[in-house]
Amino acid sequence: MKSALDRFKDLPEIILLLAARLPPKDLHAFRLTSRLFHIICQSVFFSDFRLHNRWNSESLQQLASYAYALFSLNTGEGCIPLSLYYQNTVCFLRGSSSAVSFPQPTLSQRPVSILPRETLGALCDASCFATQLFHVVHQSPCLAILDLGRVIINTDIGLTLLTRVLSTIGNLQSLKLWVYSDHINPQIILKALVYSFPGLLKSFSLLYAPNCRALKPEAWDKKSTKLNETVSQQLGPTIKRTEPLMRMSDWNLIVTGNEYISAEVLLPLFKLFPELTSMDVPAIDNKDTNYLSSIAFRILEACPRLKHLSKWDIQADEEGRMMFAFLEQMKENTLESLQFLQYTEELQSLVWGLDYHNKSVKSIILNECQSMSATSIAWIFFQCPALEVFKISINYDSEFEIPRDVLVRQEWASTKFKELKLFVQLDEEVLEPSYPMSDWTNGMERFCRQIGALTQLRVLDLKVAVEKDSRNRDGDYITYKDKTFPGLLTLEDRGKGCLGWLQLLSGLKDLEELHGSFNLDVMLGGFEFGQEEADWVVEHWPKLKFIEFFTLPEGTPISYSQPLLSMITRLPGLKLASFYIDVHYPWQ
Amino acid sequence: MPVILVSSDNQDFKVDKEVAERSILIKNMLEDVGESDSPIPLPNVTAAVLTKVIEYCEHHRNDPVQVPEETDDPRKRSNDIEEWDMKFMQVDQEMLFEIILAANYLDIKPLLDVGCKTVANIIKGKTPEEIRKAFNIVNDFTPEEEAQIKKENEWAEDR
Repeated sequence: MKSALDRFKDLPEIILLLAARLPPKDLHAFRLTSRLFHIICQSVFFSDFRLHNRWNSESLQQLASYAYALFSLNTGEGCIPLSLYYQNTVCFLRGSSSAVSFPQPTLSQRPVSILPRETLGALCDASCFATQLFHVVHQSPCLAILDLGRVIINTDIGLTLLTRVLSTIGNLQSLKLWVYSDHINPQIILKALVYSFPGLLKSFSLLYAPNCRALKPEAWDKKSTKLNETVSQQLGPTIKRTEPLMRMSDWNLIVTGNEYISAEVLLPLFKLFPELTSMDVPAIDNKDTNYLSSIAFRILEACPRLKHLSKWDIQADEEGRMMFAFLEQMKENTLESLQFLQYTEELQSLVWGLDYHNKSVKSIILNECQSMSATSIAWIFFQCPALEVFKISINYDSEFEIPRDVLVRQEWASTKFKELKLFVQLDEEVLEPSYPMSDWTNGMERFCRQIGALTQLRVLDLKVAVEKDSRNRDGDYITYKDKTFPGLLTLEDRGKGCLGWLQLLSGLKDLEELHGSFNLDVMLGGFEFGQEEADWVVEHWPKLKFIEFFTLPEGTPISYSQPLLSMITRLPGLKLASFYIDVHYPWQ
Repeated sequence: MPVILVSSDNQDFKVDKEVAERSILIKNMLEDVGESDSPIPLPNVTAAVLTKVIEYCEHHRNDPVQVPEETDDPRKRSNDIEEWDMKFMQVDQEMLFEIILAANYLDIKPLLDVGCKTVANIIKGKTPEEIRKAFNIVNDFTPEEEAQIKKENEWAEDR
């Protein structure tokens, strides 16, 4: 009888499941082991395309030529007909109980693979990007994730070709692209793309930027018109979507420059996405609060399941008026997550908007926050009982402070945190760390006790806030890595009169990453991290994968002390250092 | 109510119905035959492997029916093996693949999933040659084909 391993090799559908579990690098290694595994992995390999910054004729022709070679290999005699088990495997990954229940693509959504090979071979000769995509897509009936990176569209033919190709990728679930155009306005491009979406699409992300003169223009040769005709013959007329996309759940749209997409264009599009749950709030060219509220209301009527909002656009609607319109118009306590890039409290306090949703909000991420009062930040901790993620970061002109004492004036409403990222202001003067405890040590204990109550925490990023313009004697910026939280990683030893609060964090059994101000080289006297602390960490934080004991320029050699070596030995995969390139700025 | 399962080497296993029904194959068979004391033959599973499979099903008897999160990238999920499952999968390689084959035959998706994750974790970080050695794979590429795929990997590395 054959061994289990040999019988396993006879079951390509299981090998395909295994391949789907491998990160790209390991998938590459796996497919290089034998012809059989290469053929099987090919569909997984080509199911996820991320062509960031590689969207040019040269790269695509190169890719197309490789794909062509692989295609030849795949169709050699004795090869397993992949199409026989693609569908079942896709069904398994989607949790369907049988192949029959898998929604069959309609005629207009057929995978490109059914097109005659000769046609594709002929099309491959062109330098037109859509044609090359067409060829590459042919390699994978499972293509599900497509990130086109930068796409330059300056002609109607280019837009038509691209939308025709997209509409034929029947299994596409995620589409991301940046469109640069000098001659076609964003409204036309957006409408053309949306009406070409294949029926299974779940996630769409478009960044539109005018003025691409600085970029190398895409080659549009004389064959373009002929190609357009050829593709048209193969694919039939362009179909304008009228049926809603029932799987569409995630929408991201950023239009840069002085361009806007009017509400009149956006509203009919949103009616196609009744199941939308996540949205980057659109920027509307109008500052009238009532008008913005009415647009938010109408979008919410079309997309009643919205619960995740983000605002990434930092040019249009700088103050986030539309975000506040959404927060106000959404049904009370329906918001689950909010992401804000460069939030400033100058126009309106986030507390005003969150007050409608404080019982439902689970995640608040404020990237490069510009300004926010400490009391507003503390309000979030005191009033949001469902909060699982809170992250705040700063940039070069941020102006806000989070004093530790303000944060612990009251017990936090949530102990469900899984991720927490904070910059914390500590007392200026740290006294001798010994008994009897002083005000600052009492404050530290309250703070540590509060962190220790977050027993589901997986990622903790605590940085000591520093003045952004202060530099050391060498002229380097002083950053969070030059400070530490005194006693946070030190065990108390009353026998020796030593303070420390590490023991208060024993409940953090799921902790995987500890980032921030824990640099061993600048730990304060009396608050060391020794063998006892190392043993304690191994015992109480068994899932730990990273702790930021060193933050160094890339390439700096590190010599680990005995306690650290003992941790690395006992916690496989543990990393203790973070490296940076060039200057390390305080806002990083 | 107990159900009797019979392994390929004719050993009987008496298990609770709710445990046996973690297998969709067995669940469907029981639904088809209705109330019956007849033993259920499992000609593709030996007693040694069935013992392990039953151990898994016993441990997970109260788990809710799995609804895969479609938005999750499966590649990101190879690390999230529960501690018990990880220990359960600490078996020799032959048994590991036997369990995977049995999970596939018996249609126990969570077990098949954890089996594939375990093999994926074995592959992680290995070179093609190391993987060939670990799984007794014969390299049947021509040097040209191998060079071609290597080139393609290089191209795709930072995609």
